Amino acid sequence: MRERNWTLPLAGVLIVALVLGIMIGPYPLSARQILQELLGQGGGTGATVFWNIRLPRVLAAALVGAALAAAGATYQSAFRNPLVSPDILGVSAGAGLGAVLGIYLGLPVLAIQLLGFGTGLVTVALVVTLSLMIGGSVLVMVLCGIALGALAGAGISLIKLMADPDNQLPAITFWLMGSLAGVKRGDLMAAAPAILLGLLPLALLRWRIGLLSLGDDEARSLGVEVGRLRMLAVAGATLVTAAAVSMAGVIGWVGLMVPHMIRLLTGPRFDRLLPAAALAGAAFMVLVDACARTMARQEIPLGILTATLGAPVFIALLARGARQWRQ
Amino acid sequence: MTLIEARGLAIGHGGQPILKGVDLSLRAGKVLCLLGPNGVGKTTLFRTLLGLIPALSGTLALGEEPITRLPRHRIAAHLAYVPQAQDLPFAYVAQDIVLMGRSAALGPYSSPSAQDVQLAQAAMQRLGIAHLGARDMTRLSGGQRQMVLIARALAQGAPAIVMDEPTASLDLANRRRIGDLIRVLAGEGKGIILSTHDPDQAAELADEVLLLGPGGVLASGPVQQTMTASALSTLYGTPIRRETLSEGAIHFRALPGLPSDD
Repeated sequence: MRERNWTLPLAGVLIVALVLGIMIGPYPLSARQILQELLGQGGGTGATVFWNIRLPRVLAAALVGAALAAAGATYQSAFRNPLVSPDILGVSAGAGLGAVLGIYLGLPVLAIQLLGFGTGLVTVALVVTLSLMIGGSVLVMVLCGIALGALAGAGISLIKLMADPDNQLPAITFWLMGSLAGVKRGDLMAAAPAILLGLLPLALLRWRIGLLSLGDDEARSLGVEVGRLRMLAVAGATLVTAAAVSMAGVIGWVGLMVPHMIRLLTGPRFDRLLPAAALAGAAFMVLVDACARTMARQEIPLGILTATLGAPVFIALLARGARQWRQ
Repeated sequence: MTLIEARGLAIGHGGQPILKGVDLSLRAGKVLCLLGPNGVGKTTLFRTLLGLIPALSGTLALGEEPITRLPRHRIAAHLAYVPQAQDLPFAYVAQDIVLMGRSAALGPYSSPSAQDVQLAQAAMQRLGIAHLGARDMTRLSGGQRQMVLIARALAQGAPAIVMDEPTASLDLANRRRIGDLIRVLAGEGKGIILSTHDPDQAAELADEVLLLGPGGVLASGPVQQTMTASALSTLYGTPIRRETLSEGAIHFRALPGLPSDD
């Protein structure tokens, strides 16, 4: 099964998910309407929904899902730890802090995104610098990430406490739970380049990033410049995480769960895992977001859905046999 | 051809030398065996030879070049490493691990080609473990895992191989297989440097031995001249007798009695 190339089948799954995601919503679109719009023969309300609402939202979901899954897979390999995810370096919380601050200050959307992106990067830079100062081991870095993530969480709580309870607090709370409800074409255009830029080094270095999971001595003895490679991998993963968070809020579990499930298909080789996990993460997020906007009369935050799906699946994976990651 | 040449090497971590004045030379087609009590610095010496930690002083050359001038991938092209144990976070199959040996030959942005896969498979066939290719590394026996790691070293294509206690924790049959394999590889021109806690095995496998005592080299040279009863008694701090068996092999026996104080 591992020898099979999973990229094409998963790309097919993603295309089906994208089509379904565009069709499903409060204003349903038929497959025929989609085809007409793509061929430039559509019009009316359908066209507005397709081009201004559904397509940007579905593409944003796909990008966010791909980003979180790719970042999770990268962190897991780079830190030799199957139980880490984009949250581990405090990136999600750090980016969340900046975005919440932006909402509190009443900044425009783009500024909120930039602020979230900036604080996400600052958080990871602090984590890396601190862990290098303390000793540079992988465990120290993970613990620094947890500590700084908690600090960012405290900052978020403080801002929520100070926020206007009628106006700002609901917006902050909803955003923190993760949502693509308000995503417009401009948001997508702001986040997409950062996500693609971050994915580029991961894709180019995919064979070598896998070697990091052997441990530093072994990877070096195989010819890998471990320190530089890990920095590049972590920087790329952090960039895509921060960009995803500043567009869609904090969406947990995807970065942990998707790589684990895909590893069952592709095996642990990172060069096979990365494209498969990114495609699967994209398809997963598109479908979850479609559920989020149709399951109830009001939008359900994505973070609630991913946690509801992620926690049981993750426990099932654990029960299925810890031998997949052994520790 | 000299593959590794060390002169007056001082090694250790964080500026503190644990071994000083180490002279060592490994030639193609030869087996050099390191003997010494636990904690004397054998693994630290290996890590220095592999360029994983810098030598504190002295000179170390791989082939013609000082190791300090070689980038990581060129060290890997010259010297392969067979670690004593692996702690894998993921369930790699044996063939994945062997294929990783091709990394030094790849460009920074390349993944292994079909030819690299063939070379990895050839290395496994060479050791008679092709049938283990699709097996989970964590489910292999100790001997099988060791064979996989040696296959990776062969796939790496380096003329010299460092093996850190390759037969520790193996049963008698597997010790024999690995030992025979080491001799065969040396016969084909590989230079092999390994460590062991078994003087008999060193005497059987090695062309030369390096006896490492606390702080430095106790003795080094060809097996017959270097592995004397007195040298080994000093090395391990306990009386040891050397016996010559009927086939000409030598055997060491630790004598009963309390170890001496010095």
